[in-house]
This record gives sequence, structure tokens and C-alpha cells, in this order.
Amino acid sequence: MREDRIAIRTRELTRYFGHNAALRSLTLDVPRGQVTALIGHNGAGKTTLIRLLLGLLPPTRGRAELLGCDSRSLTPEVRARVGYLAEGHFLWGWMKARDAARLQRETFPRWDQHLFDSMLKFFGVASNARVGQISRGQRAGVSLAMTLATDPELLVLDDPSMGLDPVARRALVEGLLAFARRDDRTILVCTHLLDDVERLADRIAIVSHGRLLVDSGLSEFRERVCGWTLDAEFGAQQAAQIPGLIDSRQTRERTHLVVADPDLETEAAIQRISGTARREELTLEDAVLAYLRPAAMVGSISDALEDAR
Amino acid sequence: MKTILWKELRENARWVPLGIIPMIIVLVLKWRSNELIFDASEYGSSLSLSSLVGLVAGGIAVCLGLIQSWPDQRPAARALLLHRGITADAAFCGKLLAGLLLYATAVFVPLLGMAAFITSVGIEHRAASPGALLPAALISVAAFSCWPASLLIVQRDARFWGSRLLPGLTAALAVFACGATMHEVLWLAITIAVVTLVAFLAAARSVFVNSSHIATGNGRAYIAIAVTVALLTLMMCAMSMIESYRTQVAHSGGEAVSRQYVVEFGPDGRPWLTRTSYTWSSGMNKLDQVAKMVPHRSVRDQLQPVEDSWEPLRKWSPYRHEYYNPKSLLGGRFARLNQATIFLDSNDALNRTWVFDAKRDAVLVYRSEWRTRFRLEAILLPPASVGSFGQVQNPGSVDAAGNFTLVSSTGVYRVPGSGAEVETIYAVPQASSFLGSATISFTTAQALPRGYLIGLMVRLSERVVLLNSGSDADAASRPEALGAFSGLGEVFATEVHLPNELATADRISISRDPTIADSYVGLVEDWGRSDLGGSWFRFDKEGRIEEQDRYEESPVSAVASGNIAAVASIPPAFLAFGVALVAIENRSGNGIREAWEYTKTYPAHTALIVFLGMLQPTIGIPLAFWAARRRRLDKRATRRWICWAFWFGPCGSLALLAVYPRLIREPCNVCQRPARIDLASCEHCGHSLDETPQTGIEIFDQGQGGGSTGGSSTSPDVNVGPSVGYAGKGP
Repeated sequence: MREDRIAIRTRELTRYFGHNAALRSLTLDVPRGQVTALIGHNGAGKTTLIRLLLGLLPPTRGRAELLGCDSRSLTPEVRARVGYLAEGHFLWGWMKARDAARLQRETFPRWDQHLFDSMLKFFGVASNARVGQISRGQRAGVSLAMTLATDPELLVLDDPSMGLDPVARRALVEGLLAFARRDDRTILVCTHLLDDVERLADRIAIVSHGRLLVDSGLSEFRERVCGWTLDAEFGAQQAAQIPGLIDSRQTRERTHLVVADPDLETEAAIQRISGTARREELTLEDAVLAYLRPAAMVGSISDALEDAR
Repeated sequence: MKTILWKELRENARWVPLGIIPMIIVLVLKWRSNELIFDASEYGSSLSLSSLVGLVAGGIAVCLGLIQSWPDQRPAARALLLHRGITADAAFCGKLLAGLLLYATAVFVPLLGMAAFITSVGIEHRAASPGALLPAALISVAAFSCWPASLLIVQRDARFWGSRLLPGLTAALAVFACGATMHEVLWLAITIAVVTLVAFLAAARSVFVNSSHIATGNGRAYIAIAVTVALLTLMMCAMSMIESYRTQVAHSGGEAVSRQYVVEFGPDGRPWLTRTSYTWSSGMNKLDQVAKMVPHRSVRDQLQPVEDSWEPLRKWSPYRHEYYNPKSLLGGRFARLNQATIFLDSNDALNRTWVFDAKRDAVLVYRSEWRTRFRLEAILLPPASVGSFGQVQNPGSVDAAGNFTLVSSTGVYRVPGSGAEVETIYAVPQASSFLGSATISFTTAQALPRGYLIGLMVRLSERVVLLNSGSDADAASRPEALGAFSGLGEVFATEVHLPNELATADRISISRDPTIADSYVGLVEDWGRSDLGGSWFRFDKEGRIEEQDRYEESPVSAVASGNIAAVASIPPAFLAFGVALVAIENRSGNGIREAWEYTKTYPAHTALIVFLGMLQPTIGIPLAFWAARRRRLDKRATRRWICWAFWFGPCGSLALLAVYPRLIREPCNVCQRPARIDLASCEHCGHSLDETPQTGIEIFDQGQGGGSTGGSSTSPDVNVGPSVGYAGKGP
């Protein structure tokens, strides 16, 4: 990919908190003009990655670039081209909605007051409403309006749907799609809502335990992750025989397997375990969950439920 | 910056009244604490106005710093604050400016209000001047250093609470030092205030802009200073407390707690070594042992018990620096700036109080009604022949008639109790410089009320003038009568020229020789307060030396007993500063020559001081070397820290550990030895730490780098991060 077509680039990005590695050697390219969904379980390192990208945390080693600028020395000009929505839609409680606009207007040269006012109207927030006294969803609306009205070239959203009702969520997704279609806008959105991802994203990046496991186009990802259903017992011994096995899940007498990049060898291995094994269609959710599911935890929860019965 | 300034003001202005209220309370309490003088505690035991204002202003600065920084430390708040089209520097400036405005509103507005109030009240009923608020204003400026210190405490990513809180301790110490020095050495107080403020602001800016686990080079330098000074303070405080405890334990149970050795003129006019013991049980000092000094030999071990009737000769000790010297670096013309009004004395029987008003150059006489209301009765100006009182030194002696003696740099005056004019007892000739004065105001033999002045000596550049009352038998035959002197009859003045050895020395004592008429004896004390050696002279009125001797009394035992801990706790940097200060102060005198003479005279003592002075670097340098190795500093940084440790001892070395975070290591995938996580490759085997094993489930686009694709994806320009940051940085 051409250098100028990359909005975000990380190389061997690593961040430790004490002895705990939040991110390990993460190398990622986010192309311009596309929407990339960043997915991972809680504590996977998504928010840390975003803070590293925005220069709000220094990396332990490695490097990150945002719009061609080292994230540790982002200039005000570059920052003004990047919109960032922090997790939790943080706003200072003493602010009124119009104060929020003032705060952004004077430091983002491309501020769009009309867009801000429209979004406030959509979320039913009066301009003199104090942020600390409106509902969580409305606060999310103000926060989104503050971010989108800066008219950024690159939009980094950390769980933007949090606190939004279904209508607002749908509006947000549509708004982001419209935003992404304008010019050459890039969006990096971190979310847990996979149907939003399906509707919105061109690309997907999955982070698990600080490591990047997937960085691919959405359609390519779906093509390369396949599922099988087996009618046989499946244990660790069998799992070791299947190359690229992402996840196995037991339901009644069946076993569902999810495999990355299956080839002839993979198919042969599965057939050796069960001659009646058959391929099954995977949804995006199935594929992503296979990467995210901590098997031990699921097992323990289901066991606990069984015990409770 | 404007945006952040606006945000900070909007967010925090509501707290300002909480700062104004304690300031007003302090000012009102001080105003009400004395009915006549505004800041009466300058003459009493309670906390002075400047101390109280320093405490309150420091508290306001700390609170302001905390409320301006703590809430914004939440990651989302910090992101919202900093991720915008301004630099972090501008954001810091916005915060600083807002902090300054809010602080000024909380602290300086009440001070200005008080100044306006004092002006409006006037001197009719209050001997108060707005100038009395200047020390409080200065200490308030110094106290603002607590604001950046709070930011440092909150924002610095220190690893342990000791290190995190140290900047606050240092700022508090600086405010205390400013308050302690401002009344005597104003330039030093201003220097402390400015340097502390600038250093802390720079450190806070650096930390705010580069807030991270790994401080930047600049930040380290400021933090190193703050941490070192704080550690030194802690150490010296601890040493003092230990020494104090040791002394207390050693002398408890009725034994003499402390013994003071003083050279006095004995009944024969010769120098005698006297020992005064302070007894814990009685709480009294008692002269219990004496020994006649012998030239060139110590007599400390020849002290003999003395009878109660043994009394030394009355002597005057007009030390050169006892009085404010306008040319001195340690004084300066602003040194008495705060003493716009100086309480002189009061007399209950007459219901009168005298106050010197420096601005008006006049003595204000107030009459008190019911001891609480005062009315200005008279403004006494200096005699026309003199022109000005100059700098006032108050001996504090009022006679029964309500007259008191005022000593100032222009002469000695009799200030009457009524509204009559001030009389000149002695005027300092214009050609002479006033160097100091000494009084004899106590008496045991004469049937006089204790505390009455019976003798006074004015020291001029080459001579002294003895002023004695007529009741003093020694002065009865003196020819020049100068008028009433503290109600004790006639005053006689005698001019005595000093030999050059006495005229140029700082610490001298003079007495009349009881054995030879018209002769005087003088003692020049050696350099150093713990030194009891000196030179003794007998000279006549014209300053001709008739006899002289050199006496030595080794002070080693005094140093060895209790001062070893004190000397050993002073790092070489402070010692050097002290020596430089003394050298500058004595640049026109002979302090350096005396110091050199002292060194030659007491080589063992000098060696002991040098040994104690070098104790800290001896411990500090290896410690710094070890700490630098632990933190993997490069050679240049190590050299700088070793220099730092030389000047500041082990505290400087410990600062290194506080400034640089502990290196974290993880087992290398290849050699399994602990490798630094902040380096790109293992320091032992050189294998890349970024090469993580593949699990086979990774999906990356063709041509994309991929997150864990091993060595093949490693870019040649990978930044190895903080390993570079440790290079070439020092304190």
C-alpha cells in the first residue's frame, strides 16, 4: 500500500503497565478512506492502542504514526485533523452544551456549528442544558456532536454506541457512513456491537490479550474463516491435529469448529476425526466470537449453569 | 490557551471564596490581636502575619493545584483537554494563568483590601502602615510554588509515595526558608522565592507536557533538584531530632544539660575561661567554673569551681554585625522594609506607648485609654541638628519618668514621655560610620531597678564612645556632661580610640582595666562561634597597645561532642555555599585571612571538618555509580550523576533512583534471561523481543505488515523507545 494512503500506522507497538503487557508488538495499517472496526474483549488493549495512537500514552517500544506524524509528537495541526471520542462520552459536568461548542470551536478550525446544532436537536438537547443534568444518552449525543462537528479527516471512536438507544444507534451508524463517504475520510471505530460493524466497517482488526490476530478486509475475513460441524467427541488431542483451529464449541452431541485459512490438509484432518463432518456457514458474529471467546470461561459458565439446574 | 484559560476559570472560580475567607480571617485576627500595632507578633511569641499568610496562601495554592490537576488526570478528561488544535504547552499556560488569577484573587485581593483599610484608618488610633503587609505579599508569591508542586505530585508518574510527595515538601520548605530569611536577608528571600517558583513551574510544565512513565530529560533535571533538596531536608531534620533526643536523654535527671564556655574579663582585667551550666531540673544558668587563661595553651581541663561572689568585669561587646549594615549582602537597604512601624516601648503607669514610624522618620506617642483604645498624642521628629533618626535600634529602657533611650544609626536620643522635643544625647559625627552598639542594662550591686540602662557604647569606624550615667562610679570623674540619661543622672561620654586589631575585627569586647587607670582591655574573638581562642589587648585611650597576648582554646571537643552530626549532615554544596557567602560578606574585611589563619592554627580541627565534609560524597558517589548501573544509564549520564552525588551526597544518589523508573525485565524467548522490555532486542543474546510465536490463526491482508508476523515484519526504523531517553541525561 502506498505510504500516503495510510492514515494510521503502527510498528511493533508495545506498551507495558508495570509488568503487564497491554499491547505486544502490534503492527497495523489503517488505510485512508475506509472504516476499520477494532474489536476485542474487555482488557484486550483496544483503548490502550487508541491512547497510544493519539499520543496520550508513550509506547514502551515501537512506534505509531497518525496521518504521517509520530504519535509522540503530534502537532496541533495534526490533532485538529483528528476527531477523538473517548470511551464513556466524558464531558465536564459543569458545562452547558453551548460551552462544549465553544471549547471545540476555538481549537478546531474546521468547526461546523450547523452540524453541532443539528445533532443537539436530534438528541433533544437544549443549547443551555447543563451536561451534568442530562441523560446518559443525551450526553453521548453532545459528545458525538462535539467530535463530528470538528469535521475531522480521521475519526477515532472508542465505543461510540455506549449509552445510545437503538434509534440513536442507527442514526449514529448512518451518520458515520455518510461521514465516511465524504471526501477521503477515515474512521477507526472500537466497538463491541458486531451488527454495527457489519453495517459500517470495510475492515476489521481483532485484538486479543494485547496481540493483533486479525487485520483484514471484512469480506476477506469472512471468506478465510470457516466452520465445520462434527458428530464426534472432540478433545485437546483432536484439536492439536487441526491446523488453524480457532475455536471449538460443544452443543449436545455436536461439535462446532472454527478454522482460519482452511486448506486440504485441514479438511483431511477434520475428516480423520469424523467422517461425517460437514462445513457450515458462519456469521460474522460466529467468526469474531471464535477469536474472542475465552474457552475456559465459557466452559466454566456453562458448567455453573448446568450445576445450578 | 485562551480556551483552556476560560475552561479553568469557569470550572474553578467557584472555589475562590473558600480561599478568600481564611485570608480575611487571618487579617482580621491579626488586626484585632493588638489594639495599636498591626502585626504585634513581630515582638511577641505568636505567629507573625507573614507566617500565617504564608501558611494560608500555601494551603490555597495546594488546593488550587489539586483541583486544577486531579480531575483532569482521568484518561478521558485528559484526552478531551489535550486532544485539540493547541500544544500541550499552551494548555499548561492556560492552566497556569487561570491558577495565577484565581490565586491572586484569593490571596492578594484581601491583602490589598487590608492595605486600603489601614490607609483609611490612618495613624490617629493605629500605629499601622500598609507597608507591614509587604512581607506577607512576598511570602504569598513564594507560596504560589505550592501550585506547581501540587501538579507535580498529581501528574508525575512516580513509583512510590515518598518520591511523589517530595516536591510538595520541597515547596513547603522553600516557603518556610523565604519567611525565615526575609526579615534579615531580603535579597536571599526574594532569590529563594523566584528560584523556587521558576524551578517548580518548569518542572510542572515538563511533567504536564510529557506526562509519562519515563520522564523527559528536562523534567528529570528539575525533579532531581526537588527530590535532592527534599531528601537533604529530611535527613538534616532527622539528624537534628536524633541529636536533640540524644542530648535530652544524656542529661536527664537533674544533670547539667548544656554547658557554655565564654571568655570573660576577670577581676584582674585578664581573660578567664568561664563555664556556665544549664541545669534541667532548675531551669537556670549558673556560672560554676572558671580558669585563668594562659597564652598559647588550652585551660579547659584546669577549670576550678568558683564562689558565688566571683563576678566578671562589666564589658561591652559591640559586634560589628550585631546591627544592620546597609552595605552588607546579608542586610541590604530593604532588609527592614516590613518594619514600617516599630514598637519601641510602653509604660503602664503613664498610659503611654511609643512607636517608631520609619516612613515619617518620627516617634509616635500614643496615650491609651482603658488599655484598648489609643489616641495619637504626639509626633516626635528628630532634632533639627541631626535631621534623621536613620535606622533605629531599640534598647528598650524606659525610666520612671517615662523617658527612654533611643539608639539609632545617627545617634543616641532621649525621647521624653510627654510631647516635649527629642533631645540628642550623642550625635554620630557625619564623617563616622555607625557599626554597632552595646549596652549594660542589668545590675546586681547597685540598688537600681533591674533592666535600667546604666551604660551604653556606640561603636564607630575607628573608635568607641562610652556613655555612662552619673551613678556609675567609673564614669563619675568624666568631664563631658551630656544631659539626663534614662533618669539616672548625668551622662558622661568618653571617646576611646581602638587599636587597629580591634577596629577591624567583627567580634570585640571592651572593658575598663581595673588595675591601671585610663587603660582599657579588649578581646578579639577568633573566627567561628565554637572557637574560644582570641587575642587580648591592653590599650590606652588613644588606641596605643600597651600589652597583648594570644590565647587559644581548642574548640575540637565542642565540635566532637554534638556538632559532628550537624557537620556530617551538611552536603558539600551547602558547605561551599556557606563558605562563599562568608567570603563575599567579608570581601572588604579580613574574614578570609582569618579563616586561613584559623586553618593553619588548628590543622586537626580543619582536617576533621574536611573529613566530615567529605563523608557524604564518599558514600554518595559509589551509591550514584551503583544506582546508575541499576538504571542502565550511559557513561555521560553516569558522570553527571556522580558529580551530583559529590555535591549532594547520598541524597543526590537516591534522587537518581526516584527520578528514573525501575527497569522492567521479562524472560527472553530465546535465552530465557531477563531482558529489558524497553529495548527492541534482548541485551544478552541480541534476539528481537518483537518476534512472538505464531499460533496459525492470524489473518492478515496480503501486503499488510501484520501484528505478530515475526522478524520478517520488523521495520528497520523501529524506535527502541526509552532506551534512547536514558542516554546522555543527567540531573
